[in-house]
Amino acid sequence: MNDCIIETAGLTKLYGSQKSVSDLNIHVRRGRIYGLLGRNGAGKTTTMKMLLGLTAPSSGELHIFGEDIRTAAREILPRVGSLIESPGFYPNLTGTENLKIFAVLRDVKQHNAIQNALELVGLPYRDKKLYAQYSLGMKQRLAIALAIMHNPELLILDEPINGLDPIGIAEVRSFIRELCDAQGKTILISSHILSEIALLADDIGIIDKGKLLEEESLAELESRNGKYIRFILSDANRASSLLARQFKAQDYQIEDKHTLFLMDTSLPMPEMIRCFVEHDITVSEAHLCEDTLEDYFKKVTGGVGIA
Amino acid sequence: MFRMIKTELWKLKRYHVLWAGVLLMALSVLLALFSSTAQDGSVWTFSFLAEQVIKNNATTIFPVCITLITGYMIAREEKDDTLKNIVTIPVSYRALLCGKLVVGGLVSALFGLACAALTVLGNLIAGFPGLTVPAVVQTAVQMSFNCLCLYIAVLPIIAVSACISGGNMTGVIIAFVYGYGGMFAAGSVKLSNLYPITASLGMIGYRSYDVTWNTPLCCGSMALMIALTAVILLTMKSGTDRRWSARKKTKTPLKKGW
Repeated sequence: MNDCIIETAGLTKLYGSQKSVSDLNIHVRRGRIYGLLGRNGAGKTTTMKMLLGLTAPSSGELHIFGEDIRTAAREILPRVGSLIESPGFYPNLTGTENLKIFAVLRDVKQHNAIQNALELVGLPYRDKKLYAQYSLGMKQRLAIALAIMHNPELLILDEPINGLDPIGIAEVRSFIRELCDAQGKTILISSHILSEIALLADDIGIIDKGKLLEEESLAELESRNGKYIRFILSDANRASSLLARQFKAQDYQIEDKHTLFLMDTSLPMPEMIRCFVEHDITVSEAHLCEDTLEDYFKKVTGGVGIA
Repeated sequence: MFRMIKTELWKLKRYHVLWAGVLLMALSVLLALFSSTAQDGSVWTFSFLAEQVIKNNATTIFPVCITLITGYMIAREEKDDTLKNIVTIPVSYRALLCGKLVVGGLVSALFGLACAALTVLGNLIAGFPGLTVPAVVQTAVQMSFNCLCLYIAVLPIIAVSACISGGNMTGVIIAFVYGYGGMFAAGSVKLSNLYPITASLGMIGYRSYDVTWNTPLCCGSMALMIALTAVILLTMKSGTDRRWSARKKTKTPLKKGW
């Protein structure tokens, strides 16, 4: 059985002659959090809009729950909760009144669905405060409440932590994780904040200039990350000779006369340091380093960081 | 559809633009009261005042007022960026528009009642004779029904402007010209019964000195407007890539100094 909740093949979106999304093939697996990573303007929101039927693809295949959104939107969309771009609500109504409108339109049967959703995002139920008076963080929380109110199987969240304070970010991260772990929901989340995706996602898709450059599980990416030991020494050349002679090390790199990178992380660091000291080489620093997701992102996109 | 209408009514809560409509209704009464100061030999009574208010409403105020308010009700979905939340329920833009147009009809009838109340108030201030309960009831029914008919008369304009992103104000301008055209149509017996704005007067049996109302013809005119609106709604672009991506970007003001 196909385990993919979202599957696209050759998905392309053209705005005039400009390709916003090009030949995209993403696979979001059931019960997992898929992080779509990319710079601003990489095509994340356009992809999500196509998935929700808010914009029509120029070409390609697109399946959610095994069906095409273009022909089966009535069957698919009630099973999906979404937050696209900025939150959009009626400014003359309170948060509860806003959710009530959408609950009626969605025909939500559960009588306390609004209260539960608001409590989950930390907003008060039946508060008198109008949406127009909400802070950006509160607006974002309300938008998340709207996305989860009808208990959807799939959540499509476009930059959900925008405008949230650090505590809010941690709270949202925690309940998104819980939605996935405890309730088995499938979540597609986009962000340009790498650290957040690294903390949250199970699978990662890296999108740049409309193209999907990489799609892999976070565990696989982590295992592929480059690891090395970085030494700052009084004499890097002598230290490298010692490593080759005493520890049979071959894979190392001398950055300058004081900096040495050793790629073989299996060698015992305390013994190496002792050996250097015994041979009158001063060791100022010795670190086990690992490439971050940002380093990997830079490597994949072939350029600067994400921000 | 019932759910659509119910939620559209909820959206009107604390809606300031409705007060703008009431103010425009008051303007209609004020215009009539202003006319009463002219020394043209007219004998002003409550019924005569109500007739003048209805005439002002039909040709000058109401077509603009209701096009503005209903158009605003429609445009706000785009302005407040709520359309994406509705479309992903999924509710089609056409269904949403239908709900709004039905609520627009209810609002029109309520404006008619508000206008009647303001006419009574105006009459109390001016002190014209003939203010009786049957006359007030008749005025309320006539104004309410007339406003509803006027709304039907401008429905195609509202529907067309709803299909165009940012077409609200264009619709208001067209409605103004269209309403004003009623003054010219009133001069011809045939045209009065056919032109939707003046036909709305025929629908309420408005006392006219030049025209004998042909009610079936007036009804036909109204029915034609409803049919035209239905055609516009059925043929409108209902697919994607329309309003939810058309949000205008606001200009960020440049900071001065540090």
